[in-house]
Amino acid sequence: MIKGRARILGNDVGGAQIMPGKYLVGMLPPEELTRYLFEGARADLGPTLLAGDVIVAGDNFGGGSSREMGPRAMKAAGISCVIAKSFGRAFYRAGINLGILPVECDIQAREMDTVEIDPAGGVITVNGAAVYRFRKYPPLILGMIFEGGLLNYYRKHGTL
Amino acid sequence: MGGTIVEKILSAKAGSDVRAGDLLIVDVDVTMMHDNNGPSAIAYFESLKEKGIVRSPERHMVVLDHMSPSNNVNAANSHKKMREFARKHGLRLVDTGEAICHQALVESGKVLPGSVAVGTDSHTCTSGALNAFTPGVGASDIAVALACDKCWFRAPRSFRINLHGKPRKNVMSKDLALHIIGGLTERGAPYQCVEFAGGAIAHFSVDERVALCNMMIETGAKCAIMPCDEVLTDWFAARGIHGVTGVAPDADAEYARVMDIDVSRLEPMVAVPPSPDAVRTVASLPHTTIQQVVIGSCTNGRFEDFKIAAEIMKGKQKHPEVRLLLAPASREVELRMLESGVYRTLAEAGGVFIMPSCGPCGLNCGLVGAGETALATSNRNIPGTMGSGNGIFVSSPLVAAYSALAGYITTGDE
Repeated sequence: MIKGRARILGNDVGGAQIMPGKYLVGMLPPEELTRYLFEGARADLGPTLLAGDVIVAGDNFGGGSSREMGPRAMKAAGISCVIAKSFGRAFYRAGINLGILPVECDIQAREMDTVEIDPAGGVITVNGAAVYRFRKYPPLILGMIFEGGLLNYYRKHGTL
Repeated sequence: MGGTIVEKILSAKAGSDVRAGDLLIVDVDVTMMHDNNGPSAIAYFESLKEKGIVRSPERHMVVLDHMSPSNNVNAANSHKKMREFARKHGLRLVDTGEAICHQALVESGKVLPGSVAVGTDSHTCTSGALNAFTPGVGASDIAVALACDKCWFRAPRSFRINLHGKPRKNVMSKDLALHIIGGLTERGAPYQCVEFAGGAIAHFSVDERVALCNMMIETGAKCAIMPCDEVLTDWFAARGIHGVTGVAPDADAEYARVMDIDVSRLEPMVAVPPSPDAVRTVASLPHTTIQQVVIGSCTNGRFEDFKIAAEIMKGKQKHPEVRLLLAPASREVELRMLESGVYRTLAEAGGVFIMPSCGPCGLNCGLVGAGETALATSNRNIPGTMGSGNGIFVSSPLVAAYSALAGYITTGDE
């Protein structure tokens, strides 16, 4: 079960909005990039993120550029789940690879609402009340997400 | 039920019947990392095992193209690390000035019909023109592929576009690409493979097909794919690769959507700021003066692109208030330009050559200042691209060449 504060973003927050390209060239570690997260979409969000926060976005979250540093910084910031109406493929892939659960679901939530996600059951609740359902993941993918992402899965199993 | 091209490629790889939506793990034939994401891929790989071995070194390419030649010490350090990694493990290094990663894949001779190629860049879809499945992936995918040749995929649904008719003389595949993106928008083919079909494909050279597939990511697609026809097998044969066998879709394949386009009705198009799907005909554009024209990039930096520009600009001079930057996609392209006289023609017309690299698209050089407007043959004009200035317009090399002469965006018809 994942539980956290809802942090709200709009539609079409792509790779370049998650982490503007100008921060990529310096090879900074993801921990030092967390304050720039989402700068291209909502500049106040990155500096106020707390571990456990759940991103709630609109359509097409994480489309466009397939740069992985944005999702890596999200992981470093402690974001464990993104709920979006729909995902661009770049983030969907990076999210699963890094162990950030991407949940495709259209939910009504406001900034700082409490969101609870049950990935195995395919259920989301908002402030303990409103209930939403999403399509459950196959075991292979949930395995990757909950064993710490693709690399940790490989380290543990020695193959895919 | 039969399969789409992608379903059939993945079925052959997996040795089982794969349908859209299936999650599967297959061996990849080729991987590419470039200097934006490559350092992450290397760091991930080195974190997997203490003395990690690249399982199949001949499958992997390390390309220095985005921040190349390095214009800051951090980039230089990244490049050094990537060169050392390539040499240590016996991987092919495409060093500074050799090629843009997507052109390096096209020219590599390793992306063949029916193959699976992945790269750390969304425009890896470019190589789908060679009848291969070529989605962009992340740095961690490349790290695991280096170690065990494998990658996970979610088989995409396919969006079929049937192309009919013959394009007018002033229409290039870039105009078709912009027409498609303008109609579909950046959410038109989410997570799908854009599969091209129809008789009009025979009118497009491999260079033009590569440009078309390159742009399809701007519809939100995962990849794009062309059929394998005589034009493609002849192209491979000219490169010394004989007897390739293509993968064709089954007649009863299931598509997310099917669209028909009569290419004979198309006109020269332009994407206006701030997004590649804000598309209109050049003819309908208000008078737009420009300070910079860029012909190049992984979209339109190939020999035919410069050849068309040279035919238009031969014996003429670019407009005095326009900078004309030319960035060939590879050394092979550059050498063909030198041998054919295209290079000299464009230099005499006032063009300035950048070495084969991402150039202005990689934010490495040739940016525009505040209040300036540029026209480029690249793929994206979202805020931040090329410094943005007052806005970036995107067109074919033909429109770019006429506009460089005129000082404003034009098809040269008036």
